[in-house]
Order: sequence, then structure tokens, then C-alpha cells
Amino acid sequence: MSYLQLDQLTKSYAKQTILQNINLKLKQGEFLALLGPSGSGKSTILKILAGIEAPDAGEIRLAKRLLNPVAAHQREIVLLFQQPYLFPFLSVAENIGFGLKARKVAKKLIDQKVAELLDLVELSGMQQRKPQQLSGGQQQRVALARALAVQPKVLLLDEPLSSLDPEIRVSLQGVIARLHRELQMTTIIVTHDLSEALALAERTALLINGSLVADLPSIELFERPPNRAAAQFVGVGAIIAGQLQGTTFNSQLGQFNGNFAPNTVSLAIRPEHIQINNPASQPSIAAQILERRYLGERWEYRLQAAEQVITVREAGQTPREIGQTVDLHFPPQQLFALAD
Amino acid sequence: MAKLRRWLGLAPASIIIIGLFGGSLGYGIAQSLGWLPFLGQRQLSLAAYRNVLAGEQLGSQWWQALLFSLWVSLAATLGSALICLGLLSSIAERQQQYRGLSTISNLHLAIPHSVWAMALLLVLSQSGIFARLGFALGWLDQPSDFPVLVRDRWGSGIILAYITKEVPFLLLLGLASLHQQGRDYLLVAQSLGANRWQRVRLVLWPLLAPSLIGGSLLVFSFIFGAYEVPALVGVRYPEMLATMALELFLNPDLQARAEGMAVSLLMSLIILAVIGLAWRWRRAEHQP
Repeated sequence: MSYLQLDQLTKSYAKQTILQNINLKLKQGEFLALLGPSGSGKSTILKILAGIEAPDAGEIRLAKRLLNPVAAHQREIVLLFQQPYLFPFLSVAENIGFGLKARKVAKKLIDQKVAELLDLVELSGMQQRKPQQLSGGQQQRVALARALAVQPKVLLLDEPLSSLDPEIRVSLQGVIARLHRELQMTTIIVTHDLSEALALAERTALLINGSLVADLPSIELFERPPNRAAAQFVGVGAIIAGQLQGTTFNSQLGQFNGNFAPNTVSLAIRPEHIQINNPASQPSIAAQILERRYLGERWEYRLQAAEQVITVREAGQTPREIGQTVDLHFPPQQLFALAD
Repeated sequence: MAKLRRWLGLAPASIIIIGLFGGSLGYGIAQSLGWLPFLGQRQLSLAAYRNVLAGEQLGSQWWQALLFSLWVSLAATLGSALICLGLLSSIAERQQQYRGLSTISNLHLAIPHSVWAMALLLVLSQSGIFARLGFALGWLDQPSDFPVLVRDRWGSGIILAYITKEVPFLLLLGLASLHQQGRDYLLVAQSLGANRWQRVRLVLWPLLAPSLIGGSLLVFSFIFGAYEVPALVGVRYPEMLATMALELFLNPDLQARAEGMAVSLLMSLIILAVIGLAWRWRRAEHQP
């Protein structure tokens, strides 16, 4: 049973299509990541949901109610922007209580709620400070508390962590994840960062050039992207083009046996699943190392095999030499078919 | 040593400012105290001030001109500020209109006050374009049936001239405040459930208040001390303080020059008092 539903949402600006027939369904309390490169239309979806922009076509329903004609301030959907936009003329407490004041909630109740929320975002004792006296991370926490204060039916997060330092970003990811666990609020986060989507959301919808190219549990999208566009975005080790004959997939890189869907025209594999110089694994294909870079826990290599460049990530401290020829092995159980 | 060097560096500008403005001010104060060497008068006294504030004829003229100046300045300033606030409220959430409004305001600012006042006179007087047009179209029996909008005893013409001239000035100040993140703050408020009126009251007004209040003080001070518009579209009675001061200063009786200077200096004191009060209010507002 879907709680929030987007049907055939379309939006254009000056003849440029931003969104094309977007369909999305969310269950109550679900956490969805809208992932995609810059300019893919992710933020536009949030603006349409929040009522700041109107779609050219399509419908939005929240708990079966059609939202299209409802004004932004009556939607009970709160959008948290990339910048905290704390009102500079208000204190932290007044900022958090803003939405409640607009709803004419009694001052005593506002004070009580503000204290609870400050505790929740770990900023107790900062009620009287002005936004200018807070760090970037603290400001974003206050903005989050301000959004939560009105207990929205849907919380929209438009890359709220992208302007923060990596350390603060990770800490705030933890805060957001904890708040979602505790409050079970239906949440959509927009991000261009795959790791952020994986860290926060149970489901990820991938948007490229205004079209939804994948909508899957986040881990599944990462490990087995369903199509070429998704595979290129999440970063696979190789996309292998070929032909399926029975259960054998014939390609330039060799023959692969598996239970592939009929009409499979390409296979893919994650870079960490490709093995280098494993004598126990046959068949293998020779490849030459073109480049390497250290990622912290693994080395990433770019290799030339046949006419294709392949990316491999391998654990280990000692790097392989550039120019070295190695044998690559693609474990059949790690190969998956792409839809195109 | 560094401090001395800094002062020496400022010396050329300071000498010009102190020499020109300080000299003029000092000469003005001296004249208001009766130091008129061209009449052989070198003794200082407060006679001109006494005459202006409590003289039989000049005293009543001063108090009437003061009240009239306060009325015109306050009405024009409040009118300009309210119209500006209304305009900014109506376009604050449509950022694409900022540029158009800014361009129109800049163009309007380029028109001198005297030219604008003359234009209003030509358009709005009882022998002006509107009156003639109304008569030609049969809406008026006589052009003189057109309502008295300029050169009237309530100062409507002066107020109208200043409102139409000062609104663009205040708009530019307000737009500068809104330009950075004004629309974003309003969107946040909207998303948090604030309706249109609450967005104006709780977000737009606090954002605009510093520039609008500061700008309004400038407008008030300017109108209170300005001469050309009241001279063009005002009447001789009641008159504004600046008109009174200049008339006294240009009086063939050179003794009146001290009183003219006294009026000018009293006007300056009133403006300084208004600014001082506003400054104290701002400081109190910013006290934690």
C-alpha cells in the first residue's frame, strides 16, 4: 500500500525536459534516496513534492489525497535545503519553533518541543545562540530540528550534507539515520553521492537525464545494477557485450556459463569481484595494467583486455606494477545480466 | 609613529573636508549668532534664535513651518516605506522580477527632484495635462474642477512628489537585502507551513527592516531639509522650514540672514536628534 505516490510526473523549463514520466511509490515510514548526477532532475522532484514548483503533467498523492492543488504551506511536507537557511534574525530556539508558531501552537508547548528537539539533535544549551554563532554542521542540525518540529508527513532532504566537511557529514548521516529509526518519518533524500544513499536509504531511485533508470533496494542497486546507465553510474568493473546461446554467453573476453535471462546482450561485474592471477580460476584473459590508484583499503587498477578497459579493485598493501600483464578471472556467480 | 603616519595619510582629505564643510558650518554658526561683519556686527548673541523660536511674527511662522515640515516629511516617508514594503511583498517570491524592478528604480533615480516636481506640476495642476484632458473628454466642466493636487495647503503635491521619487530609492535598498537569500528564506518559511501573511510578517519584514528603516531615516532627513520640491509644488503658506530659511537668507534686509542661518541650524539639530534616537533604538534592539 503506497503512502506517497508520484504518477507520470513531467516537468520542462524553456523547452528543456527536466523530468519525464516519473513514477514512484513510497510506503509510510520508508527512506528513499533519489540518486543521480547534477542536473538529472532530482531536486526538481523535491520542489514539486514540496509545492514550490508545479509539474507540467502528472499527479502526486499523499495518503490517497491528490496534492497537486494543495498550496505548499498546507502540504505537511517539509523540504530541507542544501543550505540550512536559518533565519538570521531569530535565535536557535526561535528558528526551531518557527513552524509551530506559524501553526499558532501555544508558547509553552513550543518551548517544550524545542527543548526535546535540541536534545534529539544533540545541541542542548544552544537555544539562545544566533545562527551566525554556529558551525556549518550545527546550523544544519538546527535546520533538521526545525523541519522535524512540525512533524511533517514527509521529510524531503535536498543534499543537506553536501556543503559540509567529510567528518561532519558522516556524523550528520548518523544523526539522520538515527532520527529516521526513532521517528519512522517517510523521508526522501536527494544526493549525487552513492555512498550517502547506501549509508542512509533502504531504497534508491536512480535518475539520469530526467528519467528514472532504476528503483531498487540500495544494496541491490549497488551490487547488481539492472541496466547499462545504472551500471555506469554506480561503477562496475566491466560491461561485457556479447551473445547468449543457450546458457553460454559468448564475448570478446571469453565464454561465460550461467543462468542468464533470455535476450541478454550484456553482462557486468563489480570491480572488486574480478580476480587477478588466480591459478585456481579458469578460464582467464590476459590484461595489461594501464593505471593504478590507492583507495585506502584497496588498490584500483585500470587494465586493457582485448579491446576493452576494465576496472579492478584488489585488497592488499603491495601494488602491482603499471605495464605488468596479468590474468583476469570473472567468477560466473558474480556476473549479472544488464537489461540493455 | 604608525598612528601619526595614518593621520598624515588622511591629511589631504581631512583638510578639504574640515576646511570646506567645517569652515562653512563654523561661518554659518557665527552668522546665526549675529556675526555679520559686512554690516559691522561682530558681537555674538542668541537674538536670532530667540526671534525664530519666540519672536512675535517669526516665532509663529517657525512653529507652523516646523509642524508642516514634520507632517510632509513623515507622510512622505511613511507613504514611501509602505508602498515599498507592499511592492516588495508582492514580488519577493518571484526572483525573476527583481532585475526589472531594479532597472526601473535606477532609471527613475536618475531624474532630478526638481525635474520630477516640474513634471508633476505640468501633469497634475489645475491647468495641467490631466485637467485639460478631463475637460476635453467632457469629464470636467472646467479644467479648474480638477482636484487640487499640487500647490495646496496640505502639501499633497510635495508629498506626492517625494513618495514617487523615494519609493524607487527604498526599493533598491530593499532589493539589495532580498537579493542574496531572501527568496530562499521565504521558501523555507512556506515549506514550514507559514501562509502568505505570516511569511511577510515573520520573515520578509525582519529581513527588510534594517535597510528599510535606515533608508526611511535618510528619506525623512532629506525631505525635512529639502528646498526645491516645496518651492516648486508647495504654497507660500504654510511653507516648509527650508523654504523659510532660504527666504530669510535672501531677504533684502541683511539682518534677516542671521535668522535664516538659525532656522537652518535648528533644522540640522532636529535631523541629528532623529538620527540619534534611531541609533539608540537600533542599539537597544541589538542588545542581547
